[in-house]
Amino acid sequence: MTFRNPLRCFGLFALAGLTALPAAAAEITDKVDIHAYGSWVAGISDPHPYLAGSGENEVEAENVDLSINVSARPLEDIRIVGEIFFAKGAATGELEEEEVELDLAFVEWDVRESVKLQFGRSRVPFGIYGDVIEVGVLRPLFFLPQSIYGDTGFMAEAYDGVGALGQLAAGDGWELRWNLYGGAMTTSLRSGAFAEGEPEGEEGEEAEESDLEKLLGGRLVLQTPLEGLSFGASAYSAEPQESVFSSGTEPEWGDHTVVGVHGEFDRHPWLLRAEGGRHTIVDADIDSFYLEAARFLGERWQLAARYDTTEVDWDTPLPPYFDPLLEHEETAVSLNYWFGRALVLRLGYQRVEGNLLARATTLSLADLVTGSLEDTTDLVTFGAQFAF
Amino acid sequence: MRPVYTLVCLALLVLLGSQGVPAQSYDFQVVVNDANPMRSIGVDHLERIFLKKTTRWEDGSRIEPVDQAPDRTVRERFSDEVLGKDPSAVKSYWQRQLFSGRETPPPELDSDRQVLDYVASNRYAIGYVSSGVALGSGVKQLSVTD
Repeated sequence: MTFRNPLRCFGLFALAGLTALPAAAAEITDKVDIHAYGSWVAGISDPHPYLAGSGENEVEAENVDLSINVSARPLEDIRIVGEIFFAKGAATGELEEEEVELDLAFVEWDVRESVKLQFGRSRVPFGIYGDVIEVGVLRPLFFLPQSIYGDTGFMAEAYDGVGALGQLAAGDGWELRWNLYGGAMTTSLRSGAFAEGEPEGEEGEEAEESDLEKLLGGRLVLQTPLEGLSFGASAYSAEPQESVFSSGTEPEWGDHTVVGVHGEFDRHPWLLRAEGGRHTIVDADIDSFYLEAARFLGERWQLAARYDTTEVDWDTPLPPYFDPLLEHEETAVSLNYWFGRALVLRLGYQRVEGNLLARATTLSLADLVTGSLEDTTDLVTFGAQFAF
Repeated sequence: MRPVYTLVCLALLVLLGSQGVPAQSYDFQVVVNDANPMRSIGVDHLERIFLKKTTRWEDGSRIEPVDQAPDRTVRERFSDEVLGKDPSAVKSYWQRQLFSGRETPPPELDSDRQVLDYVASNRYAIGYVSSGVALGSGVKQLSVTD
């Protein structure tokens, strides 16, 4: 466990103190709410590491996470929200790693009906899953679509700054929800290649973190009169602290820009979601798209499937043998068993073409040039996700 | 007698019109604290209150909606007839609202009696109970209009 700054330290201790209250104390006031969500998954992948699989032909079961969400309303117009995240394994982005993070810590002011301001660390209001990025029970497959919510630089877990949100009801069932936000955040990116055109060293590339400043973004979601049907558009732009690809240029605002559109139809027994976007950095564009569908078969069983793709397009063309490192195309299926909406068991299979995200832990230029790098990865998972 | 009869009919018409006579009956009673000046409420307004899309009464005070437990029959009826969703869909809605940091769901109580006690002791509260349940003191019923 590491603390980057005193604010994070204070926030963790404050939340720890709140959650240590005896159960009776939590019932004393109706102004404090405590909720949680989490997951466990076992995975096996072949031949490369990917998500819950290590690529070593053995089951990895030490993948578990828990988030505790605490909110209080000390005044009529003021709400305070905090959330701590504990994880080991896949949820940290790296197997065998452990992590404790302050995921949320903000104060919210109800300025007036349907308009709120948030100050602090909040979820990024982007796309369909940006503001519920770690809540497994709100998606049809165990893992999020990696084209947008994985190491492609589109998304972060949270931003630090100021946000405004609200809604406008236009009548006849039409409603527009909006978000504006600004501040700073950190994304992670697997670039596929480096500025010099060669992978650095013999080790597989770790996802690079990009610290973004002068962040400015927004999202619009239009709810239609047709129950469950909505459409949205999201965008943000920021200045990276340093150029990910060390191209020698000084970073400027706009050097990291993301735009996306999405659509959703969610009405029992069907769930359909699609999202596409472009992430632009100084030296490359990253285009991503996914489509997922799920249907309940009775009250508890659900079948889900997803197609997910992303491609890195460098401004400077690279030799063709780099292509597998610049692409990710995935098809996934999942059989789910639900206990209400509080708990779901999932058995899933994912097939990945390309090595942008499913990458060998050791990679050499010779593998690429000779075409001997296996570009297909299979992942099988079994897990549980819950929320209360 | 004829003019008196006409006057009585006219008076009844005016009275019923001002009450917002519901176009259909519902399988629940919407209740508020006695101090609440409202007499009727539109079903759209009721939906927005219980999804916390509308959070203020007309005087600016914060609305305190109270729900019933998901396994209660009256909860199913209310979800279906007012929210247009089954309780599991409402659960998903609140999970998204809660974990995105937007809002927390209304408290869930286990019986009509608990809802009535809650509303009677909270002047800004609104809840619903089963049809035919005696309301007791401190609460009154709102008629629901389309």
